[in-house]
Amino acid sequence: MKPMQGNEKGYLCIVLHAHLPFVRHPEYADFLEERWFFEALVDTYLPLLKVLEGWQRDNIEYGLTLNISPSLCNMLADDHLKDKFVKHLNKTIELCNKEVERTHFMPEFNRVARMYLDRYSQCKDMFVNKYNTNLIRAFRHFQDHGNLEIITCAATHGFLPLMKVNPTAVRAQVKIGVESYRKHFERNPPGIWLPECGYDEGIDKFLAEEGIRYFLVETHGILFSEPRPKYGVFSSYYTKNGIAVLARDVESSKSVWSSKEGYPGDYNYREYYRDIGFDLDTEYIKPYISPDGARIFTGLKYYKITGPSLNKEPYNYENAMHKAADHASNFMFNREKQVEYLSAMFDRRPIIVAPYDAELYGHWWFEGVNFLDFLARKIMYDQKTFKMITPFNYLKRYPKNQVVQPAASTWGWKGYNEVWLCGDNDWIYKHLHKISDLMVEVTKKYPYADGIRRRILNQMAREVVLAQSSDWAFMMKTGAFTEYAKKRTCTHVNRFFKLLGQLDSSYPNVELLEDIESKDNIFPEIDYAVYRE
Amino acid sequence: MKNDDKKNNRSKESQKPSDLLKTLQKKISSLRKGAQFPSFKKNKKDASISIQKIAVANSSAERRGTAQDNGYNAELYKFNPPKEQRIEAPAPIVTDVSIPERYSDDRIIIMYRDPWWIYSYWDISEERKNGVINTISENDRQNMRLLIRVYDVTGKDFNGYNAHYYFDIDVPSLNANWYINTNHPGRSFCVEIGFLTAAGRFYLLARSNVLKAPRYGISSIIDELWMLPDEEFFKILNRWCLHTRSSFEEKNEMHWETFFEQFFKSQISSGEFSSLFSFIGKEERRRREFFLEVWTDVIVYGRTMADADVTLCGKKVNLSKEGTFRAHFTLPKGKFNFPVEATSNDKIDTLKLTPIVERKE
Repeated sequence: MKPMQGNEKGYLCIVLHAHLPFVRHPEYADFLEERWFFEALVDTYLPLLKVLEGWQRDNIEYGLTLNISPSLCNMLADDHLKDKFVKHLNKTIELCNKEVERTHFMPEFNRVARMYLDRYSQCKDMFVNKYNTNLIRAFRHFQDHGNLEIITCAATHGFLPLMKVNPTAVRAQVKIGVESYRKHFERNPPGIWLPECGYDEGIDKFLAEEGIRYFLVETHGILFSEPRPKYGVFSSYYTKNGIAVLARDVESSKSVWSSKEGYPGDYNYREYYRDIGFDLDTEYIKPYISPDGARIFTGLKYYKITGPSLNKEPYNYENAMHKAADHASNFMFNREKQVEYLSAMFDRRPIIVAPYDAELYGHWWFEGVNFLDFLARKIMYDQKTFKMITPFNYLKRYPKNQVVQPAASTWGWKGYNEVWLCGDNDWIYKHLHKISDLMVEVTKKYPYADGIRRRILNQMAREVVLAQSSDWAFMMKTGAFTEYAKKRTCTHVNRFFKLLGQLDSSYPNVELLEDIESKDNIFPEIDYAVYRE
Repeated sequence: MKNDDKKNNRSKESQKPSDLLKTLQKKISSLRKGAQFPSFKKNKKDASISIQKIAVANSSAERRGTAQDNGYNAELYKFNPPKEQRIEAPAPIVTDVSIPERYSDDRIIIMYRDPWWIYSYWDISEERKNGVINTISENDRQNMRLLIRVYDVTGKDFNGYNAHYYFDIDVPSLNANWYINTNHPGRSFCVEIGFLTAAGRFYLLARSNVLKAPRYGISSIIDELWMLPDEEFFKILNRWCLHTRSSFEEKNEMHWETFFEQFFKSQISSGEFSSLFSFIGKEERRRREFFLEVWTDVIVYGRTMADADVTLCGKKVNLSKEGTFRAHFTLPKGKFNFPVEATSNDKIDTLKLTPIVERKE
């Protein structure tokens, strides 16, 4: 990556955080929650690759930061999930063909059906033929030969501020995440995305230990830092541990995130909630919904948001694309104003950090990936005020920064830990802390285990990090898929204790170990020694 | 119709674990001897100390045996009563696997929820409790209170006596949790659980980790090397509210608290819209409006020689091995022709039939 030169007055740093909890159930042919992964592939990850291809082809000068969480990396690399995804694509393409026929007499719907047929066929072609099912390599290509900066995350997106009572557990989450990155991207991660932007004093020490150059925090992580941060959130800073930190800008976030003021709520955009999985006749849709007949999303949605009422009008792709282009212009214009305002006061070029969940683009906001595409192209051709940049390149430009102690913060509702620590999920912590502590204890007891015992210890480490996924607490709080989330927490704690029960045995139950290994096969390279204090 | 759909969806979710349960229970029963939950205490009742009695977990073996009857949930919530108003009652937990109900590890842990509240949980064993009670004279055991003592230990190497101040909260049991309003952002806290005798002596059961609550607010500490006049700094801050069209220049230090209050309330944070698993709750909120939808679909189907060529509405149709075909159309209002044309494999015979369907309202 080469640092960009020019007369620009400031920078826009878009960061996409792509993450899914590790959901993989080889014991089922069809598993509802595995669809999150398939939907994200079709809606976000593959379209994003297509945009990157386009930028490279057209020599667009972009800078994009992408966090692919280690748990997502492990899913992208998993053969079982790849097979299931191809089956999912085939099935959906079959449905698309039927839909093109069914809507024969309704031209407005027929156009949308054809769009989906086209889209899913393209996805399959990309996934199977072009990338030979290896999307990690595809993303890596744009890091090695483009301006994509891929960063890592904690191993399973464990929420670090509530784990900190056992520092070794925090260190292990970071270390496993970094190791996973090295394995998949064949270099050291330049930066890290803290799960849920969850920062607490001292966490930066563990990041610095791994040689990470920067991390990102929520707005008040920097605004409330000590001493007062000279440039607000519009610059990089260092912590005492020598690692750089950048904070989210509110304005640019809001225009995309907010359902009311944000772009995704535009009436021309596709309505997310009207899906033929719920709308169509049972007999017809049966093969494409849950095998037990439960209605689920198929991904085929024919309506535009239209307005607040339930009466929806058919979606028009061309109109929606025009809107996405308009919104990209508007976003760019606002950043120009922002940069002009700030650069007039600064003795350096300000950076506007705009982080988002990657799945917001394409999945929730169907046209979001196109918006990004338009945005990068417009920034290059339609203005001269600012450029896109990645944090690493900004730091190359500004290696000297003020040293601050960032304030504890998260990007969750109300800005702190309440989403992951409330009446719905607080019961999990005594178990999470207990298994982390026991993990440290058994590591001390068997510092150099080998053979079966080593495998048991490694699998116990996998169970610890899987139980720590912040997604389970999040789901318990939001009330969606609560049962699944509870089950997953309990399953990993239970498996941990089952394995612990085998650890001291002279004749450990290998069948049990292998069964668990085959199911929870995340981080094949894991080394339980990360739990050494 | 929509409501039924949702129900189906729910039942699907809860059904899967029970399926898993069956397969896993077979495995578990074969492993029962090997698996142990190490810090489990054998079915002892918590001796009541003029405090509310609590139920205690059964042994691990019994526990696993009853995993199926859902008894686990009720107890889970007994030990961890939800501290906040729930929108709906907690659904029963259907787990294929049990987890230890308590660890009796004589430990109290604190974590912060936000700058003003900390959460604490503890689990004190019978042995520890009895050990401490034995050190208290018979007389003093009358009217003892079980409580947690919250110390402000900011800047101290806490030894039990050197806190800035402390306050007490009566707690119901030796295995429970509590949200504590500390109300002092940026301060450090430590919590002890113990017995307080009527004479005012405190007997320690366990002491927690030390925790610093998040600092809240813009720092007044200015870095000499990176100094900026206040008014300049607040000009930078003012970039915040562009979308509300408020005038930046008028905002000053006095207003930042209002800024943040609004900021934290506005839901621009993770998960609200983008999360792949947040849509169900969202949908429920949206689908309150009463509605009726009626669609009309037509199925055109037929049969001919399996090797014939068939077109429907001018498009080639794929025949099954038996020579049947089937097509499904949704009809708007109007009159529609469905011309079906079949030509034999040797191109000698051609037959054509055209059903006509009209939809009126």
